[in-house]
Amino acid sequence: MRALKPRRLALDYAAPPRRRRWPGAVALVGSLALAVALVARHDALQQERAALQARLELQQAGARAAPASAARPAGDEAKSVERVTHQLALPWPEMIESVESAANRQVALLQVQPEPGRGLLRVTAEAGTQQAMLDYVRRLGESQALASAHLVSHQVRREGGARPIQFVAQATLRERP
Amino acid sequence: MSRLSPERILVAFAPAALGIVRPRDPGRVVACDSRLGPEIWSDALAALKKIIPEWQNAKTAVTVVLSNHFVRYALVPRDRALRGAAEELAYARHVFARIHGERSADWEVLLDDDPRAPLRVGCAIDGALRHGLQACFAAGARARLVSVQPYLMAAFNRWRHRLAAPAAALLLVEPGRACLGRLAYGRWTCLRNLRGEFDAPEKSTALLEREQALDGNVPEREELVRPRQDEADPYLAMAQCAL
Repeated sequence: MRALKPRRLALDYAAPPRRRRWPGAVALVGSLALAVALVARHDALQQERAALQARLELQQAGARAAPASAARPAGDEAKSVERVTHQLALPWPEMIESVESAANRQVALLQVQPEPGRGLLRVTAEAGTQQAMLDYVRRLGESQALASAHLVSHQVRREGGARPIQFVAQATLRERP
Repeated sequence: MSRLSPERILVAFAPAALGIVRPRDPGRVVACDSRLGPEIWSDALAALKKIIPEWQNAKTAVTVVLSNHFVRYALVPRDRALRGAAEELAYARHVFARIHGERSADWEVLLDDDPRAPLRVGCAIDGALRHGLQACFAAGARARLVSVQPYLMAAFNRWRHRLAAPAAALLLVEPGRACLGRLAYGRWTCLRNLRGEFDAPEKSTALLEREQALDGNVPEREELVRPRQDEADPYLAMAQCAL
């Protein structure tokens, strides 16, 4: 038989009978568990609140910065936007007409490349003869939208063909009245 | 001690004297005037009434330890057919009535609530004694009665760590009486409350041997707990058990 420490005798005529301890212990453990859960929940809510607060501040900061960004674009994206805006502002119809009217059966256009920042237009084309090439550059400079046309480079292709000379000409965009 | 918490006063309540103990105080013994009242406890109650006004200067919590002269004990077997504390207490009353007859009708009976014990301690005191003790302490007074407990309860709860032995005995000796409880592995096996003088060692040894023989249980080694052995006064020893 195992020796047991006897329980306290409860034979008091004045004090209320001692209550069993286990309900109190269960209540204590339950209360502690609840308290721990509440503390953990509180911490989680605090973290969530902090995250939301940070997100809100970021959004507010973005909203404040947006007008300034529009006025003074920065970075690659802003530069692209600026470039496109400049390109859209070019006198495309006049430019196309000048480039096309200068061409004939001896000259064929390959590429038209404006450089709005520098006010230039670069044209890549093929010509059947060297004279046809020079005539084309001259006519380009005499057109309505372009001025100061000159030959940048040219090369004669070995494989020949109907237009064996490929060249690059460059002209200045005239200011709009 | 905090000024907010009341001072504890322990009173051994015996027929011939009161033993009064306060913490950090050697204590004092107040003799009772003899033969003032009809009951055995009347003199002690009168002495208590006289002394209580001394405790009204500060908040005090008074514990009364009842001499075994005023208490009857019985070991009440557990009956699994009984349901609830009320039925168990009624059964304990029946046990006392079987032992003491009709005079137990006016007694106030209490039954220990140890759920594991096959035999539980029941005790009984005169109902008038309990009412008399409570009447000594006026409602709202600064001296408040917080506990009225038999000497057996006070001593057992103080020394119970030594009573878990395979065989143990608790011997409470006071003038004119001895109470002997025997336990096996912390469970009660025998409880006697005997009139007589057992203060001398040969008397108490004889009592132990006699009870062992009556029980038919003579263990090789029995742990004997006797609180009074190293105390100067039996009444102070009785009160100090409730510390």
